[in-house]
Amino acid sequence: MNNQPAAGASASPRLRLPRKRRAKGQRIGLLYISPWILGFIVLTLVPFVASLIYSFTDYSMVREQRFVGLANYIEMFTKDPDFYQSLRVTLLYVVMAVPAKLVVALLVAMLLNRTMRGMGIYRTIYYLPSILGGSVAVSVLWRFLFMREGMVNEVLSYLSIPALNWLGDPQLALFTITLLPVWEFGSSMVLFLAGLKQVPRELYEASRVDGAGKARAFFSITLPMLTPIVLFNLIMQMINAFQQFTAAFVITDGGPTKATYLYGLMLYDNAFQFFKMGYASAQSWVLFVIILAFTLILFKTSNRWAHYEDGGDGR
Amino acid sequence: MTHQRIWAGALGAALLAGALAGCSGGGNGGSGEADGPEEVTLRFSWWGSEVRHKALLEAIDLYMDNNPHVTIEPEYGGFDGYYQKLVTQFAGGTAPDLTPLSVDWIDELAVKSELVVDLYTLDEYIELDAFDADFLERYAVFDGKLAGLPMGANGMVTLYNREFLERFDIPEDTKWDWETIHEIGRRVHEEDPNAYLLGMFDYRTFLQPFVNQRTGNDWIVDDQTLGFDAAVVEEAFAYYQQLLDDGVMQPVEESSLYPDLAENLQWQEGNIGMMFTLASTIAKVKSYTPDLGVSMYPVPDDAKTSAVLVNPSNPLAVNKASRHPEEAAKFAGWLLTSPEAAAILKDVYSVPVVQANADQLVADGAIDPTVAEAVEIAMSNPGNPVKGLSNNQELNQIAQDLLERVAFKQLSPEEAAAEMTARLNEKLGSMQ
Repeated sequence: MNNQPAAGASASPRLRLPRKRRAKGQRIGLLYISPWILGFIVLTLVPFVASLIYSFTDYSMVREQRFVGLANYIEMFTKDPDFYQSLRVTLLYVVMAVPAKLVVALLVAMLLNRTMRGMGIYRTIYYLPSILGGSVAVSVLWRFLFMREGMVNEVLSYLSIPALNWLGDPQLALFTITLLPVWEFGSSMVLFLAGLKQVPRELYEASRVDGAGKARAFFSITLPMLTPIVLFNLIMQMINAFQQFTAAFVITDGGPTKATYLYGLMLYDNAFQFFKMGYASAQSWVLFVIILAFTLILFKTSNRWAHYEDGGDGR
Repeated sequence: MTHQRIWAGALGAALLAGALAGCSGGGNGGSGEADGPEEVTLRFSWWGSEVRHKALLEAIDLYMDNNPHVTIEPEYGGFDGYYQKLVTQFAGGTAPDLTPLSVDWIDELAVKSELVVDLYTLDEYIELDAFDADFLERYAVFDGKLAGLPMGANGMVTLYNREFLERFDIPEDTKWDWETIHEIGRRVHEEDPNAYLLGMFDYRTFLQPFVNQRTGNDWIVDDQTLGFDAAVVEEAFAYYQQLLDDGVMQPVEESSLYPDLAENLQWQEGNIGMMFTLASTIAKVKSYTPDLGVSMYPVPDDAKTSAVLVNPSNPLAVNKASRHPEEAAKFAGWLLTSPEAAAILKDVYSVPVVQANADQLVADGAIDPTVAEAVEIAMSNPGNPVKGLSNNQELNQIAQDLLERVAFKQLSPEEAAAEMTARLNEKLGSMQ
């Protein structure tokens, strides 16, 4: 509170700058930020708008395009069984992968929240899979690990557990694919770790005095205090999960029998295998709306379960 | 402020210099010496293995030595993503002057979009007489236009592991048809539960030819309708399921992990006896299983057509937007007809289509005898060329998906046949 008058004092002379100097300052500011603005316009905004326009055409990259109205959307909802299959698979994937990833991230964050020597090294090591995780190389490695003759089955055999057909069984393949992103918990873990550091020690001390055990302290103090971060992680990971592509493309190519045919893979097939760019654009807009809807639902329901120390209104 | 001005000025100068350099770069291949031939730069792009890259680079060097006014810029890599890159380049106007085409791209790129030159219009620069006219007409001409020069001849054959056939007393000269496959395959699996006569099928190695043999038609006939009815496809699906049930084929839960049978561990360990494959893949399969033999693709006595797939191996096409189509055609012609180029390329594109070159390479022992034999066998009884919508990737994906669902017993042959005809008809309707 003591800083406010000082801040106000420093702001007022800036307001009194001559107009010419102010405009020049703005120009320089714009110049500095121009690489980002240019990148945003050329690489994000233009493709974003263009894809909406293409979604009403039969654009195929090499042939002349025609305006087809809502035909792409009608075909998607009424005639394309792959659309519903990939939607079902993707929803299942999101429901399995996101909570699993957040639970693992929170557990590891709690482990790394202890004070011990060399903790910085452990934190770095646990973050590494996130840097490598989404890469094609790791997906290829995953494929070898979970092959019928792969290392996972080898280890299971030592434990006298029968070998599983992780990638060849349509019932199991999606689960196997889901394990890959769970491994990439690093970014969520870092946020949880930052959140854990913010939980006031006094609360734990008070709970101990009141006789609460560790589990009670976790559910009554740690988790409620972390809910804003849970909300953030949930939304970010959900958006990522809906767009997952690499794992399904490299490990199973959507199979067997489309059991891992994620939405991103269907988009890729239509866009870059069949060059139905108009149709793929329409599908990408439907995905955008689905993600938007889920995000809004999470935001709207968050006031029931996400707790903010300031009451959530920023005061 | 002075610093900012200096930095802004330097940035501006750098951008301007870059832009000017870009402009001047676009002018290469333009004017040459007044009294010599025009300086020409051609971009030649291809995909393939390391052996193919080395051979083509050597051939390019030789051509540039003999034609100093021509500079050929090679652009090469693997097959994955090549089509996507090529289409994007065509869309952006930056496609190379010369590129091979996979046969299943021709309908889209050469026929519907007309992005490549009809090489009949450049026949004064290419020695077309060197090619077998029938072969060109049958496999490289679409709507009366020559889409590209075949870089080799390719054909579907039965490729078998000699040691496997010997182990199960199967004569190498067995005349395979669908009945013998079932009988012998069942016996093999009864004798050794770990052994299978076959690995897996896909629409191209089984479904299309099996159905075409029954009907005598193309998969999709010229008026864009199906060349078959549900009953024939049901028969094909039922046969496929029978093979899986009787252990003639490796269980699909295992084989589906290896889209390329050559990489299937059971094949590599000698527990799978044979596959139906194109001659161009033999070199790769041999690197895992050296002792291979070839025989005719299964053709029943009562087949209305052999349906043996014969393909030109990657017709070499000239981009319609090329600024030097004549020079591109000259190079393409030299690469595929001259004996010196053939001696360098050997069998990197299967067996050359120019007979004189093929004969010379066989005599010199420069071509793998199994590959040469495979092409000869396939060409001795070729089916109708698979063209147009019969090669459409989207339609074929539907067939492939349903074949897989039958294998996994998610659909009965009857259900799958009904769904396939319905979905293909619907898709064909929307394409018209």
